[in-house]
Amino acid sequence: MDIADGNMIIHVEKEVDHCVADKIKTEFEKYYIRGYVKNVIFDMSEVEFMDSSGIGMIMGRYRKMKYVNGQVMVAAVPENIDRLLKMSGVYSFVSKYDSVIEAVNRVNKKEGA
Amino acid sequence: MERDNNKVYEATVEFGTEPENEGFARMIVAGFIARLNPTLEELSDIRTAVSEAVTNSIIHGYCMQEGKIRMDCKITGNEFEVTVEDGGVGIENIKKAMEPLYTTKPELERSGMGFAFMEAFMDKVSVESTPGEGTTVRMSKKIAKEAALPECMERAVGFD
Ligand SMILES: Nc1ncnc2c1ncn2[C@@H]1O[C@H](COP(=O)(O)OP(=O)(O)O)[C@@H](O)[C@H]1O
Ligand SMILES: [Mg+2]
Repeated sequence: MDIADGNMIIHVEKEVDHCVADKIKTEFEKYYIRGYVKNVIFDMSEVEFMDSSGIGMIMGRYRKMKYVNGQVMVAAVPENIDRLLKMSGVYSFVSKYDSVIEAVNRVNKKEGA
Repeated sequence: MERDNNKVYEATVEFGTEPENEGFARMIVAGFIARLNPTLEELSDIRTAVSEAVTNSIIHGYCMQEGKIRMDCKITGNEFEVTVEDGGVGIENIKKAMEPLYTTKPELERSGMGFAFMEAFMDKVSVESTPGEGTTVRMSKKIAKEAALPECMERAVGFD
């Protein structure tokens, strides 16, 4: 996980289940409560497995970021994971980018404007 | 290759409610169905469905407290069947519980998509539950469909 200019980039690991989702939430919370997080970008490039706990993790970050007017984005989503995100309707509130860099550029541009 | 379309294989495991057992359950099923040569997608579908059922027993059935979960795996021909059973709190309204996005634990950031994924990724899903006694989820899926080709076709495509 890295934070630069308030953009938290979460490098999600290979297998996202209930254990991993909880770990990521706890880590996020440490920075969030101090007000360090302006936007969240999930880097999904390494993900090989995910279940609905991962969906809960993304939706949960979206709810939290809404309070601070921040965005949640997903980047580099593998095809099999994309299928799960589509089925769950995640894309109606989280936007998808081909790469982390693209997502970062997009938020920075918005904030600059 | 030897093919017996009615051959039966069975395995039963029992584990506790440590969340690490979700990964363990996925490993067991993956190993168990390897003999059917599933495609990567079939494998991923089954691992997701099993992960959902086991996670539900841990989080909802036993509310993360101690308990035993039993998983029965069976292969008959090219059909894989798995049953996940807990002796937890049970489900009052199964129909409601199976609706997409329905969850009784929003505070734990559950998405309510568990049953929806099980239904999407398996051919059949059935749930039996008695409040105060426990829940049994039974799921099945035909895998490696090409294994079901009639014998003459198999010969034609080079199996023997
Ligand atoms: N094994 C179980 N024991 C008790 N309740 C269960 C069990 N499995 C599912 N449920 C109930 O069904 C609901 C929906 O389950 P699911 O679709 O997996 O969503 P989620 O796990 O995100 O809540 C749960 O919120 C819970 O109330
Ligand atoms: Mg669930």
